[in-house]
Amino acid sequence: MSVPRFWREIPQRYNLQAAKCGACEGVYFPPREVCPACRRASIGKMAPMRLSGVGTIVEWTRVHKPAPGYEMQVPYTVALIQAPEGPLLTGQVVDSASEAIHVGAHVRSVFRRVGQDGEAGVIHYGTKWVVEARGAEARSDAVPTGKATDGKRRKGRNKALFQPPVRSP
Amino acid sequence: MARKPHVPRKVLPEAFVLGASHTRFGEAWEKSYRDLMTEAGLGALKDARIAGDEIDAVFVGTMSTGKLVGQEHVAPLLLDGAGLADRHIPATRVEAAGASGAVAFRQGVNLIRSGSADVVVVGGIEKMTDVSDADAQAIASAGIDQEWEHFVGATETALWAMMAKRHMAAFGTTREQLAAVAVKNHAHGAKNPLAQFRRAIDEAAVLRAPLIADPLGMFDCAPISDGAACVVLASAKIAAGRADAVRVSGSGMASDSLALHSRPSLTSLAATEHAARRAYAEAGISPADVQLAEVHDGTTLGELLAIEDLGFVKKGQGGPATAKGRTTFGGDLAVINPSGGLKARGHPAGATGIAQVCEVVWHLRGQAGERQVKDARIGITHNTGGTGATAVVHVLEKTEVPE
Repeated sequence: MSVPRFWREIPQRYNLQAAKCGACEGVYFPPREVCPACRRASIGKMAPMRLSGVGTIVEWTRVHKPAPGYEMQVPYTVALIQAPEGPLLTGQVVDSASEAIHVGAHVRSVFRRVGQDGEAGVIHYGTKWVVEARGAEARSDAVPTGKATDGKRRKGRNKALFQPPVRSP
Repeated sequence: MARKPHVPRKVLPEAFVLGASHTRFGEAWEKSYRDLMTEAGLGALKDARIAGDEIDAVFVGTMSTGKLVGQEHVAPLLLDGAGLADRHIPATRVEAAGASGAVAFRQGVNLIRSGSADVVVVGGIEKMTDVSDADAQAIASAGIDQEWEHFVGATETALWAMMAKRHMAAFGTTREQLAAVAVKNHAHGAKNPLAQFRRAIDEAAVLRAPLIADPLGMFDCAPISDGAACVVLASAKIAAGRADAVRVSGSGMASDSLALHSRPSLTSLAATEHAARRAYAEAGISPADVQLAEVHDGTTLGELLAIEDLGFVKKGQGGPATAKGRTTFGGDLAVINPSGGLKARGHPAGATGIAQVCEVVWHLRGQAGERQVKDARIGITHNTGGTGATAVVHVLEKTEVPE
């Protein structure tokens, strides 16, 4: 994958930046230039907004034959996540006990290293999801430890980058 | 439901399949991309009794030759391979992931219907075993949303797996019912000399296979394959008097969001429903009129969605219908995937849509040998790309072309 392509996609990928239609208030992730419901009436009225970074698992699977870059994480969990603002997203669920991962489980987004182009290539960051310990799902082993289990060890010099996206409370 | 009589096209000419051929599917180490296409192409021309000089145009459906064999611009190359470069006819490559073959076929049908051509050759090909298994998997997953599905860890099979789990939760579909699709298609493939896998398997074999993405295991998924397929399409003028001509009486194509998460339903493919409705309306048929269907079983769940969305059974009934044997020989519904389907015949992506047409043509002509569907008069093909962002349905009929 080319470097320019990955630099171009920064805002949506890192900040869960969505678009809200000024005509019908529909929210889309990734952001769209045109609202599929309002079409022409939405042109120029699609405003950027940030998703809250929480959601619930609509469905999930454990992947044993990995996507490129995920070879070291097999098996890993991929889920369809319903954001309360409206969009359904695809994402990886990490740092969560397997018993905690189920349909309806609450998740929150975390900012993570996703991969890199070769040994010295550009490092790709993106959004992953962890199961939140709350209510009936609360289990001590489901609490994210902050330790990366999804891939290579984090390097100290990148520490400042590993902050979760800012979320509204 | 009684079939409405076919209304001959008053304005558009009709298209007929005159010839059909495909290579054996599988791992063809000894054959190149070019060898495979030439073999299928010459086979189809011979079957059609059409000479190279009669061809007006060529289409080729192929998904990812650039990544798989490093060659783009393959339509003129393949025409050249058949010795026809000096004819200087239009040669067009068509791409729609796993539906590349069917979309190419539709281009050929449309060119003849438009009156712009009398003979069109349509090929489909993929050479997938020249790269590593992992690379082939990744390239095959290029038909899903690369930025918002593949990059974040989803593979095409992972997305089908989540659809399978939704289908199980919504309709009570069981793991065993999914396995029944693979068991049936392997039994069919065992009778197909051109199939990649010619060995019957039992339910236990499917259930104990290594997982790809839970609940789908290796035997729930179509293999990585090499292969090429080719058909010859002709206008009524050329097909006149040919007893073995097969009429393309309906052609439907539809699309949907590329990403699964952008669609309202996770348990049906709207593109299949729309493509089927258009194809059935053109042909004036309903699913009850169909004796056989070649459907896109890229995964076992794919076949269940297909027979539901094509209207052979009600939504949610695909699992029980398959497990009870209703979709195999001797069942009360159309025979689904008599060839063995993608699962057992193999799935060289671009070739699949054309191989489906070959299979239906052979049944309608009574040439399908051991796996012949009795009294086959109408057959359909159903080919999808990615997780269903493209779907193509064709209706093929046994016919008498007037002199």
